[in-house]
Amino acid sequence: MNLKRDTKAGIAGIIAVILFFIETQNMTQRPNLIEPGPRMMPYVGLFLILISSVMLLIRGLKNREEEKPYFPEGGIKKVITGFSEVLLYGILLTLFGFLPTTPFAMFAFVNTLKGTEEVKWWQNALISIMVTLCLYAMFVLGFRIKLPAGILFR
Amino acid sequence: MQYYINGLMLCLQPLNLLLIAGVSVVGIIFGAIPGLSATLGISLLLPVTFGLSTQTSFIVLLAMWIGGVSGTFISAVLIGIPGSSSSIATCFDGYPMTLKGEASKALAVGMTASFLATVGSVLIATVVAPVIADLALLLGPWEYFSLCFCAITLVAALSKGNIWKGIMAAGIGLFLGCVGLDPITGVARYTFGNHYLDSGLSTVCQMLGMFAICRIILDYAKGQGKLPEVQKSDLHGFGIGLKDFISNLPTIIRSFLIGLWIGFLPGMGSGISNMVAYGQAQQASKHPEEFGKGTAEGVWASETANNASLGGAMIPMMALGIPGDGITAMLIAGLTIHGLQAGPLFMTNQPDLCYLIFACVLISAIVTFLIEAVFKRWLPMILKVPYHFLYSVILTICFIGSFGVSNTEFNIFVMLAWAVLAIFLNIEGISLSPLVLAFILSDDLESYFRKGVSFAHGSYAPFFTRPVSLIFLLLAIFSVAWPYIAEARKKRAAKTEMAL
Repeated sequence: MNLKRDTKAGIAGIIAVILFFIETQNMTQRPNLIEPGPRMMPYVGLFLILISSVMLLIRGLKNREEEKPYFPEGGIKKVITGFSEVLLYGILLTLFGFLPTTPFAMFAFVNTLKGTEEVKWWQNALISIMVTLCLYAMFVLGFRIKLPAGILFR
Repeated sequence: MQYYINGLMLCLQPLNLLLIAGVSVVGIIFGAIPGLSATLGISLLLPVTFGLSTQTSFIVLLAMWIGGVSGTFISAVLIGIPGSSSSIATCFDGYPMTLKGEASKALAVGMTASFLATVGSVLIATVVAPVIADLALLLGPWEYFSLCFCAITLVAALSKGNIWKGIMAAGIGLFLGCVGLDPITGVARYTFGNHYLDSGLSTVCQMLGMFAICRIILDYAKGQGKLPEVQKSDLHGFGIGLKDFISNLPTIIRSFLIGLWIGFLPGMGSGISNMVAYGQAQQASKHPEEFGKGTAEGVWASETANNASLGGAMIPMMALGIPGDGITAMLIAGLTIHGLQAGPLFMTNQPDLCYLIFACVLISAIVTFLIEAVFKRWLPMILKVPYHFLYSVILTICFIGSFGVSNTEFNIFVMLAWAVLAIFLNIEGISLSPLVLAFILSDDLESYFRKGVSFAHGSYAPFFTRPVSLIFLLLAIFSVAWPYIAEARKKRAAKTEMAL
């Protein structure tokens, strides 16, 4: 069955509300408080998500019109590729630190984002190394901001 | 007055002036390139401010804001694509002017209108904000709660598409704002035993994930990379004279007032003001038939209104600590990073920094105007920046920024989680503005509500019996009910017409 975007958002919202409602029950609420306590705000948030999810679900089920796809063909695959790349960079950055990983990550990002544009590999490599060094100089030497050193090198 | 002069002097110090000029150029570039924005620019700058003094931090953040908002007209005029939603109406006449060979005039109108509106609105904000802040000191937690509630509701009700999507976004924002230790009792909420989450989810990570990483991945997936070629035009000379300005003065004044008022209201920033002002200018014009075909009046209206909104948005931000839109929310986050809290007490306790902010906006507007005027001939080059290099650098800075929040790798993954959420919300057509606003205000909203109940010994009545609080609550209810009332009225009018 081809679900509408509103229907999917509604279902996801309801599932999330149920799961977090259970988690909220585990929160310690001191007795005899003269104010609503720590559970109040989560309940408000969850209530808003719940009613909007139900309304979106109903709207999605009622809607008979054909929905225009959000992405052009292959878009979802590109989202997954793009996100996998940044996630991988995040993991490698955590493990090995900024300097050993960033030139490779920059090279990969440019390669992915260039699409049909022509970029020479040596040009890309040179720019990736230069950008890494410039960012290092700017943040570490200029602003005295620490960069990830890598768990393995600590 | 002394604080204001001190602020101006600080901004005029050579190093600070150089900083304003440099960051304004970057801001103009971010504003001009469709897909990038002042919001993204500020979110990338937030981590940089960790290593700077509070004054310098605000000088760079505000220069980015002014440059970014001003620069949006460049792509609207030269290629017919608005740099952001604040210059949509500029395209209607700006681009036809370029096609008619009047690009130079259109750019001059854009930069002059941006400059005049920013300067005018910030001067008004400088005078009005302290007065409102003094009045705000008389308010209690009940009024503050209702004000925060009203701001969130207005933004949710006005979010694009459907009101339920706006409410959902606000609900998610409020809910995620609860992560961490409860501000009053210290109970851990949704931390799952992870101590990195005790202080809550970082606002900087949220901004970087939602506005930078998400934007880049979505643009890549949609294949939005290359911009159309800029039409060849003669861009020598300034482009307009005093006569052009005087003949459009009524449009400029009307659009300025519209922009200032709309900017003042939460959720209704420059994205709406330029459209409203354009519509009003067309209605009031002696030659409405020329609108959309390349009349300078349309560009004056749109660019004056969107920049006047900037000063309008500064009034609630400085006086009440209520952000009107995403950008002002980030500026408030910038204050929080430096241990400060926007609002009436900020104006009383930190007048030096407060007036520095007003002075910096003024100086940034002047510097931005001078840069745009001097380098006008080269403005089309901004639109030739290769996206793949620019986006790759932005991605890398995001990782540095998220790590820099607390020097922990954990925040990198928090940022990526925000990016995933933003991607899903974008696909579902759910606006991010209510989420950001609700997330930023959730802490205040909760604290004021619970303090209000506590001060009233467990009673909820003061929220409804105190007049100012009641007005804000009624306004919030009205903003949610209005779309339904309007629809019902439309249906009734259609029925009456059919019957006739």
